[in-house]
Amino acid sequence: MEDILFFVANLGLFFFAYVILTVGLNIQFGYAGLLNFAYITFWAIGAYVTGVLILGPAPGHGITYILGFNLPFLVALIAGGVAAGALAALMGALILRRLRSDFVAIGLFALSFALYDIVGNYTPLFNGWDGILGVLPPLNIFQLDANAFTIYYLVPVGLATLILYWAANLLQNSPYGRALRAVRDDIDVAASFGKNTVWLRWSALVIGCIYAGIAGGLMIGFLSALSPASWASSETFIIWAALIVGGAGNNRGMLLGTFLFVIVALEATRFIPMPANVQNLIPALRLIVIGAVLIVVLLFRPQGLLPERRRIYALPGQS
Amino acid sequence: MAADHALLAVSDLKHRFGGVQAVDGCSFNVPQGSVSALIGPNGAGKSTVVNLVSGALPLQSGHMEFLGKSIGGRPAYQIARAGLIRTFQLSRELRRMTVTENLLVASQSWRLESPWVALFGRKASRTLERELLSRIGEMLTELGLYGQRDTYAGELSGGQKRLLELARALIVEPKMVILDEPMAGVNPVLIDRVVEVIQRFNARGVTFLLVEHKLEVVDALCDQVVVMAAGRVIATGSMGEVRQDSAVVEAYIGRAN
Repeated sequence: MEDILFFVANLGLFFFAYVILTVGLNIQFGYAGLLNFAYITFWAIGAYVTGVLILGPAPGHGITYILGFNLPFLVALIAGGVAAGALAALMGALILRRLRSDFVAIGLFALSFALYDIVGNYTPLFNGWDGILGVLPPLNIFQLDANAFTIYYLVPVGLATLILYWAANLLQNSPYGRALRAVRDDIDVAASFGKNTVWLRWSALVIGCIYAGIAGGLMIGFLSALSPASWASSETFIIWAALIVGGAGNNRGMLLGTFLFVIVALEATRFIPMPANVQNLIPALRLIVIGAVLIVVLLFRPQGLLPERRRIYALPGQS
Repeated sequence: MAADHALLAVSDLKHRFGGVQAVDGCSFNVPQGSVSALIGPNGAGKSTVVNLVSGALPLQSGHMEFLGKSIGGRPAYQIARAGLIRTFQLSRELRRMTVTENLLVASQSWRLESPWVALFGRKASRTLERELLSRIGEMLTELGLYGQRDTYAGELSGGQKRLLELARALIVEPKMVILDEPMAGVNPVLIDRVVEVIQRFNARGVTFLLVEHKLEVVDALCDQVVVMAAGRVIATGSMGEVRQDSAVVEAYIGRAN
């Protein structure tokens, strides 16, 4: 019975963190139409920066990383979000001024690949391919054991998810969100009535990546370790699939998509018992199923399970 | 109606696409308060001029002044904010936004378009929205689009998209509107309505520049006609005057040997 409780709590942590991730991507793609296939990179930067700020100084003997300030978790988490946002601000300034939709995607993808290799090979940064490890459970004021901590940690992570989800809804239902949708639908038209399209897309990129960084910082709190292997491009693909199947532009659709993919397909299947000789079967099948579902949805319901809602305004006048 | 001083002054505009000199030293003025037309055979460079003036294409050579200030080399959104709005030759609507939203987003102040206002200034945006909605209701009633107010712009008919584009340009309360072939694909009944709308807003002080192939419309509407051929202005004057101009006749019909 207790095992099930811990299992569910663990799934809950993944769900909340992925909701923050998918909301951030929805701000970029669903609101502003930005194709960011490098999204997971910003999650990783948030996780790394939060991690190395919580950790003490690097011990040496083959383990090296920057910072190591023993900072409190909340400070480190905010710094992680800021770091991801700052990186996005820099990349956006390089890319968005000159490039449009598909070329933005290629540009971000290229930069993130470069970053992946730098993090992997330049060990003084985040300990290279081995990654950082030993990040202690944060906010653990009651000295809980691992299982109890999982349940306890649901509270701060859930709270952060609520706040960020609520903020994303406010952004969407505002003049800012409306201007982003105009840029998404036709960037030249938006410019033709005075929208600063470079600034609008840049700010959406930065805000979305801050979400990714915070999700990463929250996750390093219960993953305790991170290496480049855990942010390969297939992770980005799963977040994209969740968003598109759920319904880009609709935050509830995004919730549904995240639940279906991340909880049902990705995390719950980890625990299906398999004979030792076919233990790679489940991860492989999982990606095949996700890909197949994505194709079916794109073919038969391209707007997603819960499409963006039509906004109706009370308008004086007559036909 | 036509005032003496120019609202828009274009001089010696040149633009090259690869090996093609699309605009080759084009100069003209659009008087304040006028309805002017830019006409000429296909390939004369009219659309390129519109794209240059509106900032959609980067300026290669020449000068452009709007309200006495240079607008050459400024990005499209700054030219729009200065009060010069253009429409597109092929209707371009914000297709996944409703007709009402198309007008709302066009007319809302860019000062409110920030994440901070979204999070902390909701009252200000609500007040503004109410004001704009009553203006939008009037505009849609005036243009006969009120019945389509909640329709996605992408689902409108061709003529309705044209009207929406006109409404979107006018709701901004611009000083000048450049209409790129506003009558293309519009049925005769709707043409009369568009003509009437242009006249009504001109009477309220909006200056218009039309790029138009339907010469009877130009004749009915325009105080001044600028004729282009091969990237240059070959004649300027009233429709009656340019009709008599031998260079214009030659450009349209070809040299009689």
